[in-house]
Amino acid sequence: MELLSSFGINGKLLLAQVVNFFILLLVLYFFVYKPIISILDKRNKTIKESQDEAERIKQESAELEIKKKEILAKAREEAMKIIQEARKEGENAKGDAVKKAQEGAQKIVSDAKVTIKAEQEAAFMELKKEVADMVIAVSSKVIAKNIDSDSESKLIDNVVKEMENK
Amino acid sequence: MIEISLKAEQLGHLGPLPVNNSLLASWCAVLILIVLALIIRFSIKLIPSKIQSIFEMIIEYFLGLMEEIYGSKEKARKVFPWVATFFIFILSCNWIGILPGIGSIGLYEHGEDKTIFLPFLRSANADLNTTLALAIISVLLTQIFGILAAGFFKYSKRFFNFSGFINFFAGILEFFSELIKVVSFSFRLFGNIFAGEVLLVVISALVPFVAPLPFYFLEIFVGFIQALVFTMLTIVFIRLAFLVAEEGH
Repeated sequence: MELLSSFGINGKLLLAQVVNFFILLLVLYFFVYKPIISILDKRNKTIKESQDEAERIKQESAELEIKKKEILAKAREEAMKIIQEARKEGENAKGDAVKKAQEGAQKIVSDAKVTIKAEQEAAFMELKKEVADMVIAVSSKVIAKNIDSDSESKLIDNVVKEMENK
Repeated sequence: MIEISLKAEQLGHLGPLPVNNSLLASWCAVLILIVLALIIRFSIKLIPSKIQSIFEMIIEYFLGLMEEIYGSKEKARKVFPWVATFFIFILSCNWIGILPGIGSIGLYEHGEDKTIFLPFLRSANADLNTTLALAIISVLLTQIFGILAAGFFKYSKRFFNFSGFINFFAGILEFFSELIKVVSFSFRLFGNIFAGEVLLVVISALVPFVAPLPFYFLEIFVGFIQALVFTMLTIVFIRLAFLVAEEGH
């Protein structure tokens, strides 16, 4: 006990220090540890959440990028298809039009030919008739009454034939 | 003539309580810490201020360390407030004890046979009362956590094991080692801090200027290390007490 007293050990002082420690423990527990630990937990949670969120957004944007590329490729393909179709259609239409025009022209030409031929024939017939009449008139005037009608028509025929042969 | 007193000098009485200069210093430390705690409490934010982040750093360090040692988040959080308070209390007491004016401002008391110097403040841990109190709390705490984890009956087997001759003596040894822990805890802390005080007094008396400076740095370091040692040992001893619950089913 002499040892203890030489170090100044005193039960009351000891107790006072124990009390000090417990006061400090309580104060620190309620004012520091508890709020700080809760805030640390909260912060960790927030950080984790925002990390997850960032990861999710990253993934989503990657997906969107892929989708965008797909859509673009599809659109490009479709556009190409449409252009090709339009070109084809245009070509078809052009061909049709040309053909139609050609046909129309041909028809006009052939019609014209037919008309021309008919007119030609008609003109020829008229000419023939006129020539015949003229010949009759001329020959009747020249030959007068000497020739009978039989030889007359024979002569006419000969003249006509000669003319045709010309 | 330098006078070095092994015991803390008594200043007076507060009711039945004899107040010595170490108790006064530890009251100062407690008061400062309470003010600091209040400041932290009412300025706590999700995005921390400087003072908050210092405390957060200490808390996170010890929490992480204890989770690793105990292998359980729950246990770590249960033990944490005690251990952290040991660290903060011892560290602030040690560092406050180094401040100039402590141990040097005082009165000369004229006794009957001689005149003695009576400093108003003395480093709290340079009084065996403080360190003994802390040591007793630490060792009792270890036992309490052991009992809480293993149950009273199973935990008492650690010391009173009648299952065999060797086990019985091992239990007795274990019991005395717990008692000796009180002594080693208290005298280690007391010895280091008291020696530091003496060293500073002696050096300052020999060469008052510049020369004590390295020793002040040394004492800052020693103050930190001793707080850490006390805390770490407590953490490890509590781990050993937890081990009783885990072994020998």
